Amino acid sequence: MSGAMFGGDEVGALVLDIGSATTRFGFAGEDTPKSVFPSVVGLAPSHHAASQDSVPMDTSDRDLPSGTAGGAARRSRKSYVGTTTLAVVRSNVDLAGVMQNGLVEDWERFELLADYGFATGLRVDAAQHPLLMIEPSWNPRESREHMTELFFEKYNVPAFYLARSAVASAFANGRPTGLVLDIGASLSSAVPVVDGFVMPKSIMTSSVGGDFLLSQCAQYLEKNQIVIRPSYMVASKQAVALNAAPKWTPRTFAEPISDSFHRYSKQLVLQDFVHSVLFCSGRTFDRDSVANLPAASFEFPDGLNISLGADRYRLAETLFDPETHADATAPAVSVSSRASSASAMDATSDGTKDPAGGLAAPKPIGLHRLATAAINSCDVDVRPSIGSSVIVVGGGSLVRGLPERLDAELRMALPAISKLKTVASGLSVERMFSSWIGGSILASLGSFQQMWMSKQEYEESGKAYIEKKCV
Amino acid sequence: MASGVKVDPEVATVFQDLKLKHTYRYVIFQLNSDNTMIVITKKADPSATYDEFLAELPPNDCRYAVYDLAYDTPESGKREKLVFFAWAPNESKIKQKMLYASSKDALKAGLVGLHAEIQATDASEVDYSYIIEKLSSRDR
Repeated sequence: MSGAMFGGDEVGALVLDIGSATTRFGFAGEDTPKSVFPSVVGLAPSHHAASQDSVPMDTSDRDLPSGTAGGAARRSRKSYVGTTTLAVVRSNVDLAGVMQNGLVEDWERFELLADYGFATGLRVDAAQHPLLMIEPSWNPRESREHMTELFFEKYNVPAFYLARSAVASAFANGRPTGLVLDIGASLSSAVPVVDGFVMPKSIMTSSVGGDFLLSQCAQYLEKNQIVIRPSYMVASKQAVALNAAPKWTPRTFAEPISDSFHRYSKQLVLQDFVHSVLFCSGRTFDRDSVANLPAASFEFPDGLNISLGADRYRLAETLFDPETHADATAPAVSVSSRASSASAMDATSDGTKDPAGGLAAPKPIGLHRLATAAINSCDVDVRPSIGSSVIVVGGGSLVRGLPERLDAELRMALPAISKLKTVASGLSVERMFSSWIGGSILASLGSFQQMWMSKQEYEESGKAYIEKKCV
Repeated sequence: MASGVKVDPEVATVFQDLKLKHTYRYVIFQLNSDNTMIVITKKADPSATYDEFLAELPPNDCRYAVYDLAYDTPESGKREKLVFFAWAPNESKIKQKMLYASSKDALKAGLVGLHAEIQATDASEVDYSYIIEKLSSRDR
């Protein structure tokens, strides 16, 4: 099977990395995860809840999910997981993510995601494969123990390992010491790693990330009277000139479409918009200097064409200077970032602190300031070595021009670090999947086999033993 | 999070010779072909130079090394320092980077008495004057 890419040993281990936007699941030793799907689970209302809310009863049972077998008896609600399953138009299905502030919050949906991953994503029997799971760098003890218990008890895995996301990313970049700046969907984090250990007190998080950009773009489009009509709404469309009113015919539905499904579909359009249009300018944004830079055009699903000049740079600038350029009233658009991020802009708690402390919703902090704050909160002796390896990872880092701009900003912000260096893999998959790839290599090593927490160790020592096995 | 890679027992004796008897100028280590053990690939005579050492760091693969560095300082005269190098150039394969990064602690645990550690990914980070500057700043 696998192994060919890295020449790894045959151990048949699986690597699971659940992010706030996507879940990455695959075989250890392969170079990319075999199965990547949204960390979003749709739940039909339970019959009990449905009658209370007086929603129509005849909607939920027809479209049966194929992949989500093995549900516990307590779960009577229909669930929907997976890219294609979620794309089917359904009324009355509540879509939501599993993470909040970078930690697993909704364990019911977490299990449904894992069910789907084993049964449909990889089509494997969990009991036959050791599982290495990438965990958030600030995953607290209770959550680690819960994961350990869940995978040993419910999925019956023969061996388990928890790897800190930032450490796996740093190692995959050949740097046991460095700052891992992970620009994720629901939040960005700056995690100092020294000799392979996370410095928990110096972790900084910011709400500036992929979802933040999406809501800024949504707000921008709304202000320009552009209505996003996701492709599910469009039955047909005609080509129109730039900025002309779109000519399209709507699809009609017998039943009302649930709000979360509409938001999810809109989010996909916005993601496309971010990736095809936005661009980080090389230095601090200034409308006059970007006026002569190339514009970019974008076509919406309903056929509307627009062209963006300075605004494509200004929208990207919100990543670095949210105070000046971001619109604080932008609504949350991502269904995977849960309720709290809607109010992230006006969070009053100290969002820069370690989220393990109190799960405070992070505040929007520019990416270079986030990195600078994390480096400066470390011991003065290790700052030079951390600053000489600022490792940029995460799907949010794929906005064009971002690593170059970050490097320029950090050089200005940290003049004392003479060897400051920003590292961003040129391959976008290596940036998006850096921690998964690190885990994949590690779990495929023959020598790593002694490091797993085995089922026997779990039975003898209990879930708390994970703290000793996976420091 | 460690790879579980072992260290060749010869490493300990060679390191003692380098540290106490100055038998070697530098020693270079690498992983064996099946990635299970860190072994010695090069033991250089005391007459070897820093430039010779740099020439032995491959541009597209990782290595570890210990260098017995003797240098003059304007303020405090002659110094001798044991410097540990973790060499992981960007051009090396991601598997090598992961392996070397996750195995470093196993090697370092057996090397007692190192004065400094250099995590290097390109020529500028192993530049002689930069290393000296880094060592001197630690003396203050």
